[in-house]
Amino acid sequence: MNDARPIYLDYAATTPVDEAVAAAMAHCLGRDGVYGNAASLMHEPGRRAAAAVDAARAELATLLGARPEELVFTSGATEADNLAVIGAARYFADRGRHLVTTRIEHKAVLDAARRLEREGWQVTWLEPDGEGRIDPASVAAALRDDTVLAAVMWVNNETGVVNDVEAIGRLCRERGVLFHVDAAQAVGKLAIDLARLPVDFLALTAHKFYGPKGVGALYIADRPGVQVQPLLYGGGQERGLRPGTLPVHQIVGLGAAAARAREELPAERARLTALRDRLSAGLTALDGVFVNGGGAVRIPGIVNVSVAGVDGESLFASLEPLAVASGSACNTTSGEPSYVLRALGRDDRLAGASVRFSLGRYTTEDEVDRAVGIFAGAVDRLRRIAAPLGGRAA
Amino acid sequence: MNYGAEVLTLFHEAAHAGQVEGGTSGRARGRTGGVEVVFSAGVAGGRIARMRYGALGCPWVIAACEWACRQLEGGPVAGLGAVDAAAMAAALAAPAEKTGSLLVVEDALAELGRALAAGVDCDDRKIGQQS
Repeated sequence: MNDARPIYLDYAATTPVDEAVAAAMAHCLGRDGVYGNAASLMHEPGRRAAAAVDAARAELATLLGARPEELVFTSGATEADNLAVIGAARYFADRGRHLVTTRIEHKAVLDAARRLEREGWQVTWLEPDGEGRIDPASVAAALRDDTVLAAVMWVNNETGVVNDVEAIGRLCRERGVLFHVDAAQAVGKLAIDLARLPVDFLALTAHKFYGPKGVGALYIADRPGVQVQPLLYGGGQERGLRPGTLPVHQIVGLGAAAARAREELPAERARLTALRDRLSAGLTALDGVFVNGGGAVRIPGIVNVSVAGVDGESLFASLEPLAVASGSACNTTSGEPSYVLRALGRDDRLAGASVRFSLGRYTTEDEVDRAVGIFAGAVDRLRRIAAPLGGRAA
Repeated sequence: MNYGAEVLTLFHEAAHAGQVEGGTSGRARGRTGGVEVVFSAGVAGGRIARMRYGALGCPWVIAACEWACRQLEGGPVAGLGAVDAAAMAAALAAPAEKTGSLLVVEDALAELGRALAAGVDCDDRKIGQQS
């Protein structure tokens, strides 16, 4: 057993809270801080809380190229995805009962769409190509006269592959179909300008870009015909779309994280791209290691590899002190091989023997090099253990 | 997956991973192909002088193979029959969902036992050549 400190390479699962963000949040909690109820505008503590929420909303809007009034705070991307998919479907149920989405969405979209299927909706499930991309033409071909909504993720959480949401959104808009984008892995990593993009809904969460867990937002484009039915009732906050007392400290944390992300995005993008390429080169120097989505445009910071000739569970048990993910962290409790990698055509063994490395703000070149060494040592050892089986095991 | 200390020790040490050159072998593979095990052994005077394994499987499988070798090496060939999935599960405190994988290990041991029973004299002549 190695008792060294973990080498954290699981930033796509979550990130540590930025120290300045944590300080801004802490300021909201105590008696001397911004502790008021943001709906209590009749007194000063309430007005200060409302002002803090407004400021955070403005920061997030600036990061996204949106208008502040187009943002609804939620508990995270899962709730935002549900509000967009189920909320829009129910609002426009008299227009049609057909949705289009993909096999590689996060469970927050998959399960919301499945829920609608159980309610009688028809769902067209699109397959990715061999690199994990959703072809805009496949979306166009799936749209019908009764299609209410298409939902396609911007960046896949397992492979980091970037979908062409601009092209897909344009096709949806031409057909009068609402378009939802799960951007949990895109915000803070890609430059986003929603004023220019044909996107109607966009879900995000703070904890993917150094903000706190438990807060996110849904962008709802301020244009005619873009509506959702709320999933919760009571209180009227967030224009009645997401009622409940606003968690001011969480929202302030989201706003502070957005401001920080905007400042550092260009430099961090270049740095992470270089680190990703270094990691990728080190991993693929080994025989039988394949980068999933390696031929597609990917965000900097994610490298997902499949390894031939080893068992996935044994590989993970050998990777200490690396903190990495097997497929999607959100999916690891099931013990099943990644549905995303299977959709890319990997068989169960290869999908099971896949590792997602995701780099972030605190990742160093030295950590990347150590990660390559640990990974190579583990793969070599497990292949030696399997060697007496001969070629059949590989 | 939470592994016990015993499983982790056996998995990480894997001191008996390898092959007995010229030895007798027994092999088994799970139905889905996710687990595959081969044991090889050399016998002298009715005892298992040397025993090795190759395995493709989860840490429980590798730990079980290692544990079986440690139990059986140096003992009588007849001892092979006593090491079954239940014994391995008990020794490693394996969860019920690993029973299928341990049965593959048991099958490979049984195959080795059958092979040794059929050719023990031949293997006796090769003990000195084992790696």
